[in-house]
Amino acid sequence: MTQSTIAIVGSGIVGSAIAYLLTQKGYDVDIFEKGPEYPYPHRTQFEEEIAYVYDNPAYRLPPDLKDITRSSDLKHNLNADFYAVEGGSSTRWSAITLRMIPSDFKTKTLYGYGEDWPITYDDIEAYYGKAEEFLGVSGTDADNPFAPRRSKPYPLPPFELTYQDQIFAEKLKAKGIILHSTPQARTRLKYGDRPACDNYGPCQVCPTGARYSPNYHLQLAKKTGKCKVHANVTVRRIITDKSGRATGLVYQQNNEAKQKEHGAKVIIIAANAIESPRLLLLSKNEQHPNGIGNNSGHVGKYLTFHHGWHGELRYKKPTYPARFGGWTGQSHQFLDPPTRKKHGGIKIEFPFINAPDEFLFASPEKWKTAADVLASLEDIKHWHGVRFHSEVSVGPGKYVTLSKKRDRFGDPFAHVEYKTDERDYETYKFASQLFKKIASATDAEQTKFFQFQEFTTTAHHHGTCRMGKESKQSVVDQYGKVHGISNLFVAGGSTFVGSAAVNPTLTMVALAMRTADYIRDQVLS
Amino acid sequence: MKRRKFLTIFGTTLTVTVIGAAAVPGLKEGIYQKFYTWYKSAQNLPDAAPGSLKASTLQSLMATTEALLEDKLQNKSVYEKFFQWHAKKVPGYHELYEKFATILNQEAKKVSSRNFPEVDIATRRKIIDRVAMIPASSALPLKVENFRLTILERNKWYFDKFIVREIFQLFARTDALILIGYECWRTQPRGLNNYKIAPEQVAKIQNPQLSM
Repeated sequence: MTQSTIAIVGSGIVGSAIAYLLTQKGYDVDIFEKGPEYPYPHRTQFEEEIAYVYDNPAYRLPPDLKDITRSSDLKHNLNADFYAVEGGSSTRWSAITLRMIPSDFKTKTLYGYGEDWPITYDDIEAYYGKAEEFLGVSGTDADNPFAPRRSKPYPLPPFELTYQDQIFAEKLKAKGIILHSTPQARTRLKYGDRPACDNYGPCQVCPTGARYSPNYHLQLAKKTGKCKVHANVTVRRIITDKSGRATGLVYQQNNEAKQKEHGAKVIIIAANAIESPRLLLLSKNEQHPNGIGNNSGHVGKYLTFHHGWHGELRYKKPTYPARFGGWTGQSHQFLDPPTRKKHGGIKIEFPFINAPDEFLFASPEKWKTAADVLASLEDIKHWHGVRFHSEVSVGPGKYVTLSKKRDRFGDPFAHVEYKTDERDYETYKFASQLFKKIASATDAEQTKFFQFQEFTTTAHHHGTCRMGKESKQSVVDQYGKVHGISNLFVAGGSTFVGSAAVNPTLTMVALAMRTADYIRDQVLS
Repeated sequence: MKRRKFLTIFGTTLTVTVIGAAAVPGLKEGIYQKFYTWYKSAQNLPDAAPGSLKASTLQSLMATTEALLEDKLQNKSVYEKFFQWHAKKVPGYHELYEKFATILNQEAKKVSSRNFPEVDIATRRKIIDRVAMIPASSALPLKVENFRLTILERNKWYFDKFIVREIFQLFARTDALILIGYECWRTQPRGLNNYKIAPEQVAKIQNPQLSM
């Protein structure tokens, strides 16, 4: 059995952050990653995927290693949300880094739904500042009257609004909607050894490292000689001793028949909100007959996504979408609407990053001549996207359990049951009203809007190992420590109590940094 | 029975059989799943070793590009780079390109005594339409037509999907964007100034090249 002080399952943005912080303090860390190595900066991947439109199979796990079955209302293909490589899904994220607002932490007290978090905004405000420095966030609150208080300025100045967003901002303001700049982990100026963004375009793969990728800190952690990443490895079980304390991991190389064990003083599960509960459930044993952390049956429960409802607006004058690769205009005016007792909050986005497929990847069969292509693009340049990034109701019908389908090692995959409820539908109705208001305010001549059940998850997944004060209501405490097991932690979106309406990653990193401090000060010292 | 009618009946019968089999409990997990997996894999390019393109093959691919894009083709080197990159890096492309060039030459020789790159653009286009393009209008529904092509006209399916579609796709994200008023291609570093002003105010960049 190999041994290290800390073992982390998952090399995504959360696992990498914790690994980096602890290796800087001299601790040795082993990270276990199901996917392959992934070079950084991602120039080769950019060349392959964006310049030559080649989906390299070397970076895709086969379906007998990566699958999530689903039922009920969920049409969205969850498997596409996750990118299993070293660095995880944040190797190709949109890098929007927003703070949750104070009311998001106490929805039960204020609005009578969900549960209150065991922490407040004030408890993590300082960590939000640290996380912004860690990721290199460009932003300002000067044009955003809805931003929560902050004790430190953003480390980098904001990306200014696009030409089209400036036009929208003026028209929307006249109708009472404020469009403002968007904080993002994309370097407006050179930041340390990361270059300034040069607007390459499709930011899902950044060739320079201007858009933050977890591999940046992962490579620094490796350079200390204290961090080892085991790529192409599936962790199958958490091992506990007779007292129930975690002692190690059972893992297997993806292409080998024999499983191995790795011992550690502290174990951190940072494998996303679907795979983390799966691992806890798979790890049932004599001491933990329902799965680890699941004495009260909360593992896998309280799953939330963000519901993304997309609309398209057509204008007489071309809007020229996709001239900037990142994001500029958003509105945070409806994160905490006066009607929040009835429906969820909503963030409005004008997503430049989601450029029309025809600009890059699509090649419809109707294209038979260059003139066909030009006619198609001519039409597209008059359309502009708007997305309603919405808070999701926490309900009994949304959860993760084990699937009947099994992976190549014989272990059940995760299964997602997802039933939307009346509150979600009310949120959709609110989004529809906002869409109509925006269309009218900006003089759109044609519109298209998603149906209720057409929502995407926006690749945000939360809950399933939620934090709380007591084990009767939750899986982990406010630091991510599994109730009753002093050396086992869960980190990431899975510990969220509610989804809020903002992108989760900054909160995930802030909480991860807080967990790293706790482990260093309270567990390892 | 005419060939087209036969193929239509054959394709439809096979599709109905497969869909019908899928509806029978038990069979769905077994036969249907295996068939579906095979069908999906049949739509991918077969594995074959990558390699450098012969000059004559590259010439045929460029002659194809010219025939498809006509006077809208502006940066030939981008397409050359694209074909060479795929042939050298992605399994299956080298063999596909070589086979494509051979068939184009055979077809060209049927109507003239010359190779494909040497015939006029209108003739080239007719040949491409015949051997490499899935017709826009078909008597069959799209899925059935795709199924028929995958099974019975595999070369045409591959040529359309992996050559013709990719030429249009490359055109759409490069020259076409400039032609409709954008100042840059999507893969170029565009800086942080132009996006804040109207495209009409931004001077067009001459002879844009891929950043790679």
